[in-house]
Amino acid sequence: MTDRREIPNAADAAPYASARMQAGGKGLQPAQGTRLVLALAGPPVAWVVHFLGGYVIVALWCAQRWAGTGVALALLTVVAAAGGAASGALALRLWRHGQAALVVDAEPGGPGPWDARMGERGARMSFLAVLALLMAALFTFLIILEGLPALFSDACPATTIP
Amino acid sequence: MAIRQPDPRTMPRTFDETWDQPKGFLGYLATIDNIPIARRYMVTAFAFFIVGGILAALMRLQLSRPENGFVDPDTYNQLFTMHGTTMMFLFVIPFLEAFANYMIPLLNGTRDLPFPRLTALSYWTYLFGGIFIYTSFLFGLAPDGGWFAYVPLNLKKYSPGLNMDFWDIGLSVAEVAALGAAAEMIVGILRMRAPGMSINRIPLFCWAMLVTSGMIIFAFTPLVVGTAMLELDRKELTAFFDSDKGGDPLLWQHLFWFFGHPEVYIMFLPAVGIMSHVVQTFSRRPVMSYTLMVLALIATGFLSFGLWVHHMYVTGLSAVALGVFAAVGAVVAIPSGVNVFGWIATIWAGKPVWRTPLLFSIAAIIIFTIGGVTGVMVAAVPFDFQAHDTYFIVAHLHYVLFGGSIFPIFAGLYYWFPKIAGKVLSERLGLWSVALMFIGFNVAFGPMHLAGLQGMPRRVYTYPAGLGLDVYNLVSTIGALILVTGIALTVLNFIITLRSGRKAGNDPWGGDSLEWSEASPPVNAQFERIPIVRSRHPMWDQTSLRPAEGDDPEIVRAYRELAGRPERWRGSLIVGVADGRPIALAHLPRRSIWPFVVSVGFLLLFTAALLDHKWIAIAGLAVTAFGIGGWFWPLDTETVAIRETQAARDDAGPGGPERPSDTQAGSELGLPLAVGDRAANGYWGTWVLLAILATASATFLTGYFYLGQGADPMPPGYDAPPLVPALVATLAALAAVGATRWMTHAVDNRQGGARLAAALVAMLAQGAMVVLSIMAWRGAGYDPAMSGYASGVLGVLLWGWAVTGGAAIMLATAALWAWRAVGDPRGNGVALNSSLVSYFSAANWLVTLVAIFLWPRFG
Repeated sequence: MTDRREIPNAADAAPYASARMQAGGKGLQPAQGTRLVLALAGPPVAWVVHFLGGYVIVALWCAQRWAGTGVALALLTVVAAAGGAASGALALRLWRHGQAALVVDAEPGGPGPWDARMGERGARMSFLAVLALLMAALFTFLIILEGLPALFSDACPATTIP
Repeated sequence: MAIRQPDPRTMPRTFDETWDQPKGFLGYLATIDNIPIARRYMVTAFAFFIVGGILAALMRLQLSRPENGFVDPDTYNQLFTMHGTTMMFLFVIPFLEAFANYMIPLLNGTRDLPFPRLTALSYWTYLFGGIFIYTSFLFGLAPDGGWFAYVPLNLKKYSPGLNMDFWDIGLSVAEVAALGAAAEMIVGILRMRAPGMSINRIPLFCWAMLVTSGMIIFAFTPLVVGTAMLELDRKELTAFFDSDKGGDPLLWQHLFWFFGHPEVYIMFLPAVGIMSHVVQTFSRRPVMSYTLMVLALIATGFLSFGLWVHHMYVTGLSAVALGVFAAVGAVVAIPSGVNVFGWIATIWAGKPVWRTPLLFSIAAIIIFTIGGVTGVMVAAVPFDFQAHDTYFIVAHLHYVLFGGSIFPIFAGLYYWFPKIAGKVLSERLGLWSVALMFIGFNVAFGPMHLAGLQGMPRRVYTYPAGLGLDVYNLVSTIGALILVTGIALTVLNFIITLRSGRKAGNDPWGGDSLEWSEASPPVNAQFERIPIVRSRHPMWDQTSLRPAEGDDPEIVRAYRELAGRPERWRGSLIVGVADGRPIALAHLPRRSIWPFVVSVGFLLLFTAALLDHKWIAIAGLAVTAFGIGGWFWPLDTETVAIRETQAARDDAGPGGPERPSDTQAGSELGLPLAVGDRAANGYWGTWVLLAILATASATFLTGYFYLGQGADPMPPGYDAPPLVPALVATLAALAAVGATRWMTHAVDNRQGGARLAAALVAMLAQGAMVVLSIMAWRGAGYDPAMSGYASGVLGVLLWGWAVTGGAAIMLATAALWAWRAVGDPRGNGVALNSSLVSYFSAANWLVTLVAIFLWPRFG
């Protein structure tokens, strides 16, 4: 059981190594780090806000028999879905940044920043951005799906089932 | 400086001596290294698995034919309650945590988990909690109210025996153990990895455990709170769930299933990690789409918290609520589907080697997929109305748990057994085992779908003949016996292999991750030389884990500083969360009896809670306090570590140390020691603690709002609690915040006297806040034993008092450090960490003020 799959050792490839030998440069920009966190956290946070917000709206306003509850739920859904979609747009921009960084890092002898030399900054950014983008798609879809029941049935039924 | 200077004669002198394991009986109790603790964890959990399996076999024998008298109804109730409890809380979760304890440092290329004493504490509390629950059998008082302990059945008036008290209290112990393990995993996976292991190179099992640990914090905390409420109700001190007194049984269901549904994924996600490792190793290619796998893990982690009403469709919720939860129930199939298709695609595109671990994984994929499909069926509301509480659900949940946990655990056992025991399990016995288990499982649980659709209810000890259920049940029992035989073969395999098995080399399977670079089993320090990671699959892609031409100088330096060093204390590397860049060294304690002592104290406390015994309670408090005091006593090795690292920094001057080659390697290290600042593991651990505390606060507040009357917060006949003491308490809370801020300011400016004074003032203010809020509570004149609403208020207040008391104790420790050793960085750390808890206690009070004192008045 020692037949390992042979995969060329990218880290030992000469051009890459020479690029990493270049000292100096800066790490990941702090602003970009914040934006990455924003893009990653945005979709689940939008979903949680929608979920809890809907729960509280139904619990409080239905008890007061407020007629606008359904409209409020629909509005909340639109806002939350927009939040999820905005996170996705941000993730897309960051992904482009990451891809650009990949090209810069790959240049032999290029002025790659510190973590480009070590941890493949571009690959890491792209990874996190793709992750954020997919989360945005999934959670935005879910927010819309969870907003639908309020359209089809009375948000505050007089009686409960069964 | 009043800290005792370490005696050189008691200190270890070499790297090997530093990392040795303590010997003798006391040494056994004082062991805190992750490898021996994880082994004990696995053995204990597997023993509980066998016991739980025996309980299941007894149930199957009882159900093999109609109107059977093999066990009586009361015993049957105990059997199904303890079977569920054992398998969920005492086997699957602890076993997966044991895997994580063992494998995560190896997978991440570090020497231990960040809080080794917490590892030991988790193990001992889990062991004692498990034994505690099982002692109930000795008295014929085994829990009999179902593993979900629904009320009102489990209130004192309907279940007067101590049975469910055993369950409630024993479970709390096991839950605390899980919370401790979760804190450890989160900090360990985020912070302690090999240099170069950036966030996109973390092995999938570690990703899975990271997400799982986050889920444990948000899911187990409500359960701990819920079981505490239930125990208070059972002691008739409160009435949270008693509908006669304005409590609400549905609140229990909400709290329980808010834990219970994520629990399913807490058991499944680590299995996703294990299966991904097994599938990629035996398919001889990287798993299909690492990114999608990580996405699936994170998405499942979030979605699982929006699913709990899944279990409550028939409780009479509104159509909108049912629609929303059905939507999440359908969507959670997406990430699970991503996992399943990822594995299938990996096998498809790879060159599979059909060894036992892969066969177990394939069995798991098939079974889990079937369970997932029936899961989508029961997520559909109309179908669930029909299938609820029938054997269809029993079949569904066993398909999910066997496919999602048991088969993957067996896959992981066969895969990692060489790394754990140093020997390779027999392929032939393994093959028989997987075949019998797969066949036996499907024969046992497949027919239950049909029995359920024919209307056979769950949790009944027998059924009448002639309803068409006889054949299904007989077949199920035969299948269960085949399944048991399959499991017994694996146990036999363990025994034979341990006695006379083939010795494993470092890397018997040709795996991709770092654990295979070390000996099987690894030495106690695991990595004498910390590996350098340049790829997601270091063992496949890298020719060497040593420094190579072109490596970053910082990484090479960290590597050299840690090569067989530090010699006199246990040290490992802390890296950046995202980039895997070396940041600092972490000091790890070497051995400690205190986790054992503290868990004995816990055991006494829980026994006292069970028996309502004052002296046992006092003894328990004393032992716990003594143990915690010993735990936080300054460690000699840490004193040495601080001295060595500071000496290195002083030598190097302001520009930082320069260590270009091995020849200059002396005893001092160039990397700073992470202690007493925001890089310290303790600081990160405190944030995890805050997450736990905040979750508990939210749970108590949920209970309070739930027990109010919707928009009208108070039931008729109640006056809002008095405002004046509450407002003065708010001033005290703000004073505590100010004093705490003053204390951290004094730490930054190295003012010892001010620091001491500030800590004392903050404690005083917190004391005043607690006294004033107790006055407010007394002024309200509520009787929690007679009122659900009053119980809700009391819950929120009690929790606030507990948190504030904890914060005051931490501040007292900070004051002690400021008094005795003001220049010591450990004291700075205590001050910093206690300030976080202190701020939290004030924030908790402000929320309490608004919810309990202002809202009923002005809302």
